[in-house]
Amino acid sequence: MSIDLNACIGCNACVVACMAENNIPVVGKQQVMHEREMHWLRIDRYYEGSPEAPDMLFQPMLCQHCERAPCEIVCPVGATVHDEEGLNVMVYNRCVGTRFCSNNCPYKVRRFNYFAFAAEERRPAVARNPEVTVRARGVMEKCTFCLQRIAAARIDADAANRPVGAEEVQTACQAACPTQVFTFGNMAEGGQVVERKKSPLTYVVLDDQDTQPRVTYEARIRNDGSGAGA
Amino acid sequence: MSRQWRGLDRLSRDPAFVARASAEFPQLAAALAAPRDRRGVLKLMAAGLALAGLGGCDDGAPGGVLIPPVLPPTDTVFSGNQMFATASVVGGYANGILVRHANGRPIKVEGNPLHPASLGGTSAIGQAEILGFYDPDRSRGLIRKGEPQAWSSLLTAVAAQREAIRQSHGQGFRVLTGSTTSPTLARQIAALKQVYPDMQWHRWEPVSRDAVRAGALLAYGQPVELVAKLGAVDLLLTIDSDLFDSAPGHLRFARDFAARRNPTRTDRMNRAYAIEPTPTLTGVAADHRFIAGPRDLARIVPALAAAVTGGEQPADMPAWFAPLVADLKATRGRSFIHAGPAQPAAVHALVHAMNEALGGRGQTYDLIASVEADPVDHAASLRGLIDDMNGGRVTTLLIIDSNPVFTAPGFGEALGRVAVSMTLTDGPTETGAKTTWNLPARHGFEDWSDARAYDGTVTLLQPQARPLYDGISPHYLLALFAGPEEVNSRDVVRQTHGLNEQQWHDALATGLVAGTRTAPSDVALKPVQPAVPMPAAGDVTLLIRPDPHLLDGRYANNAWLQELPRPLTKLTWDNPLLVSPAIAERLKLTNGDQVTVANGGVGVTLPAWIMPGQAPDCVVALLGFGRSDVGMVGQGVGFDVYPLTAGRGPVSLHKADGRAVLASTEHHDPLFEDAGDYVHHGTPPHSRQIRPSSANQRSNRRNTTASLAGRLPGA
Repeated sequence: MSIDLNACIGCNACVVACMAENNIPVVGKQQVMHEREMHWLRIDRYYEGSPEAPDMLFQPMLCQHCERAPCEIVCPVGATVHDEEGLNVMVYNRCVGTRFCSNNCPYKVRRFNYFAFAAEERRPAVARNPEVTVRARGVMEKCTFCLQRIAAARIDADAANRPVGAEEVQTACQAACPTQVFTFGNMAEGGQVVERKKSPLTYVVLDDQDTQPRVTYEARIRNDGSGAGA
Repeated sequence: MSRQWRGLDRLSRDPAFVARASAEFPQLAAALAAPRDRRGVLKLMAAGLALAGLGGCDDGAPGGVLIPPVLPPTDTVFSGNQMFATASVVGGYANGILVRHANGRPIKVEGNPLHPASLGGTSAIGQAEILGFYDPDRSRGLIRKGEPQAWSSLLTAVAAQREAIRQSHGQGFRVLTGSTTSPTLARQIAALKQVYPDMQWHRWEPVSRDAVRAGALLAYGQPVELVAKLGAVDLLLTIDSDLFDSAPGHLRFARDFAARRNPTRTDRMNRAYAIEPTPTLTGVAADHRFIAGPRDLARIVPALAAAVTGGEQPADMPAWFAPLVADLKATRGRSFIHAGPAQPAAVHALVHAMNEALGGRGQTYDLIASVEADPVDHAASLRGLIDDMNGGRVTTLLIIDSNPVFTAPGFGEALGRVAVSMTLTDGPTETGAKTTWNLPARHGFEDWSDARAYDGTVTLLQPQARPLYDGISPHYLLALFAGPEEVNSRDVVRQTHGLNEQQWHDALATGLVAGTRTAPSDVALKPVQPAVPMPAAGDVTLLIRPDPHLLDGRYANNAWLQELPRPLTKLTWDNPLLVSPAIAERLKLTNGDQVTVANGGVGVTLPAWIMPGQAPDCVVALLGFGRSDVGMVGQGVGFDVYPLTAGRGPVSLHKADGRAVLASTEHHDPLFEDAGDYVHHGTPPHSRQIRPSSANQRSNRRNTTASLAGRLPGA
């Protein structure tokens, strides 16, 4: 996945799309104050400069699906592992809730079900996406790159005896984004995401951790070449 | 490069904050200190799970909770995903959406790639509509004076009303709706006026676009609407604008703007300037953001107009003024200026004049005849209604999809003088609780309707499921007032557009009626010199704005939107008063301190939140919270600031006793990097260099500056 910060306007459509697609519960004000909100995808907002007139910068933050994932090496039960497509996957049924993975994640994108948030939701169960497991209390969860969408495309591709196309899968955040911030694809087949990752603006967050994430970002460029200010 | 920071407490290195954030478990102390029954506070408990209206979908699992299996049972046949087009309508304007159905039930909203206002994108509100559809707090059954009634009693009551209204030629019969673009609704109301010539149709939208409309009237003598063509805009100037977050067509505008932002993929990167009192998404996306309070704007905008249209060089302007004017003139025919709905009509008229003078018309924007049906000034329309209600001149009042008891101070008192009042609404509202009848409306996903997009494209809304709860549509109710026949809203909508079988099929499949975009108008600019009113001087200027996600409060019962961190403040479940850093300094405020803000004689006490980048004299009150009758999620969340809209100044602000704890996520999940350079950014082709990065991205370690040189306008 590649995320273009030049396009991001911070509108939050991707965050709600992720909640709808992945059966993410709300937790209520009290639990938000305990830092227990469950959003798999959040938009970090940074200020730079003085409080009177700062620059404001958005950076969507989700599981980076690291090649050298700090979460995987600390899990005592092998509940978070790599799959052969390069995803960092959670096996909910193995998770015993040690939260070591979350503590070791430098991006702080893992979410823990401190309570049975999903079971306590007021919306009827029929409102949920039937293709996404509803997580129980005591289980860690995080962005899956919309694994159910990848699986659906893989089944189609297998049936036709061909590889999954470069841009066959759209994640929920990518589909919802009004400004096409996200690019996602099967890099083995080339396509736009490969092109974007070659952009001179591409960087990874927390480079010094050497986690080798599969999410890269394109730096924001401000076009103040001439004219006023700056 | 200075360090990037997330919250003011972080910036000021508040020792308590630093200690807490660097503890291994930052949330632990608060959690341990909370009382054991803390979950009771949430009101999100499973109380509502026994859903009467959904009994047919319950397989009898204990507690009524269905957990989708990891592997489906062996006899399950998966019917696949299907998409059906409809629209998400906000403030009357349609954004095309597709609703994804899994095994026959709607579960997810996607954008409609064929729709001009969406092009495949959606807004946060559009995405959250699916939760509103399944909201267990939605209205069920009709209620008269607090008592449930049978549907037959409504038919009897309306029949009696028809007779009474006919005898008075409709005098005393009033219909109140929000802003609407629906051709079918407009046609039905026109038909009602044929039957009852003296009836009146009032409009009220609390987040008003009155100034936009009045500005167009000043400049052109007609309520024309703007259609920006941002793909052709090299230079965008926004003045306190909602262009990317809530203006009709905002998704499309954001798409077109963003398509020309990445210099590695476009050789025509656009440039954006924003002048605004409080940060907006449009301003944050701009290359230059200039902070100006309302009093500054009232001085700067006329000066800008004089400089652009007349070539004057006004004195006593900020340092950025002259270069901005030069840049505007250098991009003649490729620039566009946009003002937001909070700006007065005169500013809109001046912006129209500047856009004409800069030669953008037809190039960077079009003017089209009003998309809104029968456009009127909403404030005047509602004021007229309240006066007539108080004067006893209203006998029958029909309120469709509007909540004036909550959003218009003074309406609730006047309502007591109306003999028969009806509210049609799909959820509990303060208005529905006060009118004689409270009629349950169908959700937009349950019935047929239509609406137009920002460019006039007619968009069809088709039902996505059978109604979860008993309800009626506005089309059915209006037809019932016109005559005794009960109509099917599908037939009414179809009659409006007169499409043949194939065209109707295509319109439903694509979600829009082909070829219905409004053609550009050739109306000429009137030579007027509108005077921008100077806001009253004072220590504090009060701005009243809609919440980014709840808008005027209509989405207050949507838990996804309530818990969605607001784009800039990252606040959830609350609407503190946004104060500027300068005011916070003067009153010695920190985030959460209670303050009392008063406008004229009306005061509201609520917590304060310091908003970096806000004009020094400004405080911003956010509408949409403090609903008292809305359902279990939104009830009593936040503070109702609508009373402040009735005040006519002067504005005062005092520190009050006490503190409130606010749930902002801005300091949650902190990343730690020594340099504090989390978001890489730069200004090509010179100055600050982007730090290309990563061990696995070594091939990208090229000189950003060199590779970008010559690809930017003005480079």
